[in-house]
Amino acid sequence: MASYCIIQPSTIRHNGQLLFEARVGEEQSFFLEAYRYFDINYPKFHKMDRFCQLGFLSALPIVPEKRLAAPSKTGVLLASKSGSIHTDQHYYEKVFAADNIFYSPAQFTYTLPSAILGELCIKHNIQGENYFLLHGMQNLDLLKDYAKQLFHSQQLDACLIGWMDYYTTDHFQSCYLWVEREDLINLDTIIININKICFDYGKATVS
Amino acid sequence: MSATYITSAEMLSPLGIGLDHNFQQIKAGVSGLKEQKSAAARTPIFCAAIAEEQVAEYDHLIQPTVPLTKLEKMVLVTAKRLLAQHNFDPRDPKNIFIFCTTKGNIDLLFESDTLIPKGRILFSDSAQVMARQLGFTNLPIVVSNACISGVEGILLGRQLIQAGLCQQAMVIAADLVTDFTISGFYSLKAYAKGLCRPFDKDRTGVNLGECCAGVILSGKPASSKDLKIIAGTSSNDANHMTAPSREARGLSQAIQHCLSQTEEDQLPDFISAHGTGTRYNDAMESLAFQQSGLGEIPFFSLKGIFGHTLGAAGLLETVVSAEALKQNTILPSIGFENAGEDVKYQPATQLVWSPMKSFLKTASGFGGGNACLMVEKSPS
Amino acid sequence: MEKQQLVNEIKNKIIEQLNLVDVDPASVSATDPLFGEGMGLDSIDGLEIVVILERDYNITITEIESLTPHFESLNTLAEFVAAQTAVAA
Repeated sequence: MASYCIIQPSTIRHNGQLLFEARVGEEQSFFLEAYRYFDINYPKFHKMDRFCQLGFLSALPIVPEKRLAAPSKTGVLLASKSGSIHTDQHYYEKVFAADNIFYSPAQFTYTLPSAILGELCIKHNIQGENYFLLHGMQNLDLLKDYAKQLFHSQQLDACLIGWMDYYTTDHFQSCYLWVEREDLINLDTIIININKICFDYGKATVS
Repeated sequence: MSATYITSAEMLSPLGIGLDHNFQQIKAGVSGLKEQKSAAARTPIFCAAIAEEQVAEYDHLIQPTVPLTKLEKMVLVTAKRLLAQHNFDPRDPKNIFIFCTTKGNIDLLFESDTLIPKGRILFSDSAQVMARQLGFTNLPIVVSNACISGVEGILLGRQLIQAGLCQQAMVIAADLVTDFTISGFYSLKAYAKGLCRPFDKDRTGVNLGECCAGVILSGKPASSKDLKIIAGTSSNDANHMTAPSREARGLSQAIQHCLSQTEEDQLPDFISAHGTGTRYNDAMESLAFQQSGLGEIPFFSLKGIFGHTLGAAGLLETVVSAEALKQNTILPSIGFENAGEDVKYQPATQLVWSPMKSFLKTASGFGGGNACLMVEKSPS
Repeated sequence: MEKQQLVNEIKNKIIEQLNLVDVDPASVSATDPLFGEGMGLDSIDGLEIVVILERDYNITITEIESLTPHFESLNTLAEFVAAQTAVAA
């Protein structure tokens, strides 16, 4: 069954229902609090940059643990505008501006915008098609069209689709959607709804 | 799935501008790798960098209406050459622009005195400026999946054409050599001491390189000589963020899936490998070739000529290998001398001419991603 | 420096460098394996430990593979640091 998760500063919503809300005035610790809310033991979460933490939390409520689709026929297609900009700046300031010749390999890894694909594939054992796209279209339509084509050409039987941006502690957003083959007939309607919630769909201008 | 045609291909590298010119240089044994200093490395290192003077010459070819970065100039000059070869109208709403990169304009982080708005560090903003300069009316798409970006850009274009979402796609990939990326490979202890030596028993890591390569993809051939992409797929190891799967699971899966998409599980005449020169990558790749029944197929890495050009590597190597296929040539794997225990097969060591039909291009990268595609001649 | 003191120092540095938020330093013993089970580190964490060795103990690492025996536990790591810094002094 298609299922979606939307994260905005201070809230996580699952299929339209409020799942988690950070306590007022604690936005800074939103990611740690949200992690504790899910009550899982995944120490690697704390090593991730904010961008990956955002993606990791967005997938948690919606990717089923037991799945019919084979791992090799399960994919993940993500898109973003911000990419890893926040982590790039952080890495630059910590390393080059600080004249620190001892670079952190783990921090460098997170300057790849696609690092989140690796984190999601490891956590959820996703072994199929994996793409990270960046574009200025403020909607999920491209990902939807691409996913449909990959289902149609028999490359996928299940897929995680998501949009995510992280700029600062109070400027980030994600919307992730879990889709299986049986959801394809309703996919257009589902995407129109999510676009409305997340992107003021219809108002976005294409220049 | 019907075929997608490569109706034109172009590139620029430290060896110069133009696919024809680069291919002649490759056949003559010229390498773009040179020793240079980097603020991010304690000792001099080998890189394949494009000189500033070379890029400055492009201005009169591009005639930009806004200030452009080095990377953007590289992309636009490659695009202009693609457009000159082929009847492709960027203004046609049925045509799209796909840009592939790992780090884009990351050098802007280091520039305090520049006319370029800082926002162009965002890949989508940079791609939009390039698309406008070229006259595209559609918003561009950027593929950034580490070292498999270039191969995935081609696969994305192919699928969008197959789905009828566009008629033709211009796919261009580029990345720069910067202190930022050097520091990363250095910290991962993955930068070669000296020249990189893909598949050699004494290999110690990568040399980074910069280049730009591009293709125009179409559902219909523009000439009877056009090569076609007959299969392709991506996969993920789901294993480790930086180290490839020791069992070569993801790459083997991608290759086998790709071969199964061809008629009668066709075998390629050669493999254009990723071959970065790191211990684990090269061992993993040779294991994947063996597990996929390709142990007897000649293969080579082009990293000994161009270095590791990150997100551009897969597209660069597809373009060069496509030219090799057209000329019925298997290229030598520069930097290789002796086989070790962990690499089961010896790559090609000499230029070989023989009639050929198809090749397989593979790529693997950080985050566990793998991608491959198969290119074939049209029947003559 | 006493070995126990060095073990604790390295342990705290690792926990800080790797941001092991949920690890209680008291629960990690000097003989626990660093990788796999035990502290649950992986190879990229190993490279972060190399950063600690190079930055904080001024040890130059050229061959990563040669480190494997020293990376078994906090004990072996402390012995390696003690031996290397003794040579340097």
